[in-house]
Amino acid sequence: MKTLMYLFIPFLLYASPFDSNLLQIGAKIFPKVTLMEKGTKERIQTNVNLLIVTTNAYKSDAQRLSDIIDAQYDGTLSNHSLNLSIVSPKEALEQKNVHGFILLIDPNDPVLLTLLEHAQRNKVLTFSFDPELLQKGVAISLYIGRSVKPYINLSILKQTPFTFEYGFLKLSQPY
Amino acid sequence: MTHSLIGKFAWVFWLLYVAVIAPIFIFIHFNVSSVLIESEKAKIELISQTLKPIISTYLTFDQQDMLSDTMRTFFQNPNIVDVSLTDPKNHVIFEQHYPHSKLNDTTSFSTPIVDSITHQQQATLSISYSNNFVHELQYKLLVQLMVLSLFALMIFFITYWYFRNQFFVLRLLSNWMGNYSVDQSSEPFKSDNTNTEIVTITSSANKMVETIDNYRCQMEQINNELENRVEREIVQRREKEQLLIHQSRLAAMGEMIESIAHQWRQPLNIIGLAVADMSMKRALGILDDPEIEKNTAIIDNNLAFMSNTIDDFRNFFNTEKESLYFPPIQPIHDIFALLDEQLRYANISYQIKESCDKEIFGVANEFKQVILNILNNAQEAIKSHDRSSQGFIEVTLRCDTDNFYIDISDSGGGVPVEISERIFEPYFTTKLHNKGTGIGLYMSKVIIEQHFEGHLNVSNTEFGACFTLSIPLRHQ
Repeated sequence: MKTLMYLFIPFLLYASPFDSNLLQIGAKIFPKVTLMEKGTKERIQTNVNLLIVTTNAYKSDAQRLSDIIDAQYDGTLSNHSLNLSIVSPKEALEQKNVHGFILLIDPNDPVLLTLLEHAQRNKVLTFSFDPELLQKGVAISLYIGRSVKPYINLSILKQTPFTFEYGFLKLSQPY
Repeated sequence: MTHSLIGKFAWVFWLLYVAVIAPIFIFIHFNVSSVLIESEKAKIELISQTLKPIISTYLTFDQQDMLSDTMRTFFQNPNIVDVSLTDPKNHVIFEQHYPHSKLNDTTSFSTPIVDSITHQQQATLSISYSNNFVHELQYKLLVQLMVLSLFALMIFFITYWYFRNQFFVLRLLSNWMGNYSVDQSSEPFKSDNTNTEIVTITSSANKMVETIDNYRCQMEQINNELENRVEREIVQRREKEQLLIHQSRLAAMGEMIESIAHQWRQPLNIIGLAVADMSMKRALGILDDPEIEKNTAIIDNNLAFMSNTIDDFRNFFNTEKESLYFPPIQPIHDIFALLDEQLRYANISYQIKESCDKEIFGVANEFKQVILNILNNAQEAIKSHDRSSQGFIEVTLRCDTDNFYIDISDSGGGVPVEISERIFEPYFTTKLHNKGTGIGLYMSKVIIEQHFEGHLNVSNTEFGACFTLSIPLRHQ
């Protein structure tokens, strides 16, 4: 409850829900988590393709996130080139050879479920800053408690399936 | 080093004991500690390697609490003294010190924690641990080994005592057999030991000794019988030898009588002529006293010669056998004096060469018998070899520091090679018409070898045979 209250504070303050710290954490964690999944890691050939899926409402936040990730990894992730693109949900559905979707969209966006189904079908990891999206079917989110932890959707991990390292699972917060 | 069975058993056990215990001590002292130290190092390294990805993940996600919990959990080891995790800027992320009072002589090692995704060093894990437990374990093993070795030692002493008691009878048996003498009978060996092997050995030894005693008795009987037989044989041999000697003397006597007949022919003729001369002159009435004295003198002289001849004959066959030192030249002259007429009649000349005047030891008459035998044989050989020319006999007396040598050579043509080995055998003769008995040379050899301790050999020269008598100068 306390956590939810923290998440709602920006909205209550009429501010952007993606503050810099949160974006910093996401920028650090999401690309790494991509490589911690066994199937995704095996699928990667030369480039790691991450798509920041957003709507016009969060386009500036998406751009900020992209900049932070670029600054963080400088275009290289574990000897692979890290390709970042900012796309709309519809564009995302057309993309192939994608390793992760970072979703900056509204939980009530009508295309969300389609996008998540598409992602699950193609075994693409989905990330979001909003834990509410876990309920919709996003695989990974951020749990903000005493410390920030990965928040994992166990049912999605089992259905798809996604396989993570022991250390990651141990420190993650299951949903 | 002992030679007894029990002693050797003890030595072998000690060697086995040392051979087993010493390597175990060495193994524990050197190998076990190093193996355990390596094992502990490998264990801690394994823990570190296992934890490194987890630590890396926790560092990635800044999970300080989980990192601390994990570090405390995994490094909860009684041998670890210090664990620390520092970031690349040497800021301490985690640090834990375990205050184990007994730990010292720590070993430290550090390993970097590298992010598997970015390949950047996230931190350095440093661990200090002690190997005290290895020394404690080593000490425990040594104590246990000591206890075991003392137990083994106790077992040894019990075993040694037991086997010593069991085998001690062998020592008694050994002493009994060592004291056993073939010359005397002994009591059977008795033992209370009931071991099958010991009983078998004891009974076998008793049987063996009993058998030896039986054989000894049999041997004594056989020896007694043999001694009796030998004595009988010696007596028979002596009798036979005496018979041979008697035969030989008789043969020599016959030859001497023949010599005497030759010797007496001339004086008998002279005596006959003197008697006839006196008879004729008495018939004519011209026998006067001077004539009688003259003829009487002739008769006396010849009778004296004949008497001397008989004396020589008697002396030669004198049975007196006193051994004494004598010069051999005199008996040789005596023999030649007897044979003189006979040799002259047979047209045989003789020569005596004397280059040594030393004496030999023995019975002079036996020496004469030898010389007479050899000279008679020489005479017979010369007569049968060549009657047309004059024969000769040469006697040489010589000596060196040890022996007196008498060489008697003739011109009789020598001894054929095929019979040279047999001429000294008894009853071997080459003389025809029963002229020889075959015992002359045999007896001569017996006399020279057994009575004079010398040798009699024969060889051939250009003209005939040469008999060599070698007689030692020093009588033993």
